[in-house]
Amino acid sequence: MFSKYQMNEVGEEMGEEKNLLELIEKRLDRALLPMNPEDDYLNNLNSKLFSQQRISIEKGDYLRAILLISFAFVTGISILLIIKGFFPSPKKSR
Amino acid sequence: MNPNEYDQDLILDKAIQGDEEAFSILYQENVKKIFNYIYYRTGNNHDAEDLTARVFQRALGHITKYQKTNVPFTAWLYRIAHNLVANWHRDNSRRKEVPIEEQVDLKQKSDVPEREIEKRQELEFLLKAIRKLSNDRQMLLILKYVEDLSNKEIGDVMGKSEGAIKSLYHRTLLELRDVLEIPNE
Repeated sequence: MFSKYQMNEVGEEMGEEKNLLELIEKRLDRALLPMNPEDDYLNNLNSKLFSQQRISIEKGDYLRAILLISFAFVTGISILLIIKGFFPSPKKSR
Repeated sequence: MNPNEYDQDLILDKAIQGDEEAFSILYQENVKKIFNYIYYRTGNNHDAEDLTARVFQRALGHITKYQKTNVPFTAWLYRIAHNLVANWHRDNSRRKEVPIEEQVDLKQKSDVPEREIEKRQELEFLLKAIRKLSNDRQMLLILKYVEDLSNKEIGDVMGKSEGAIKSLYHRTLLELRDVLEIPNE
């Protein structure tokens, strides 16, 4: 086991280390101080973040377009068939 | 939950739903904290301003996807800042740091007392030593000394227990001692 002398030495070293760490803490306390960004910078950033014009892309209503085109197609075909019914093509003479 | 916390929760909820005014409040509450963190991580004002702007631009772009947990909202902002600073370090690994005494608007050196110059050099030396520490250890020191957070609050931000923070802090001081090459006798 350690002698009283050795225990005292260890105790002294631990005490010295503690003092050293406290010294570092004091230096950190003096060095790491809050910085204040310029008010102009904060205001400009605020404006930039919240007044940017946003480009919005409208989502196409594809279903509506397809229905419209289909309806137009069907309507067109129907009209053609009706016209063909009223005005049948003449029979070719043999 | 006390009234102040309730208000904060409400503001955050509104911001998540896309309310810009609510996000603006969060911005005003947190911008100086994020700026300070980035300032001490980068060592200069110009980059700190640029990266701080990018943090909030990114946060604003992703706020509607933010998911509330037990972790404070500030921790999310610090995480974004941490990632941007890491990218900045990667991109600027060869950049020469401008010492603080060159950044500050000084009178002619001959007018500045020698003791003042020594103090500034000591400060710059200490800040450089801090920037040699790992990211987590730098964050811990900045949150502890600049923001004056408790170990528990630091743990909430960093996602660690209070005990882990205490232990990390002690190891950080020991590493700093080695980096500063202060003899232990």
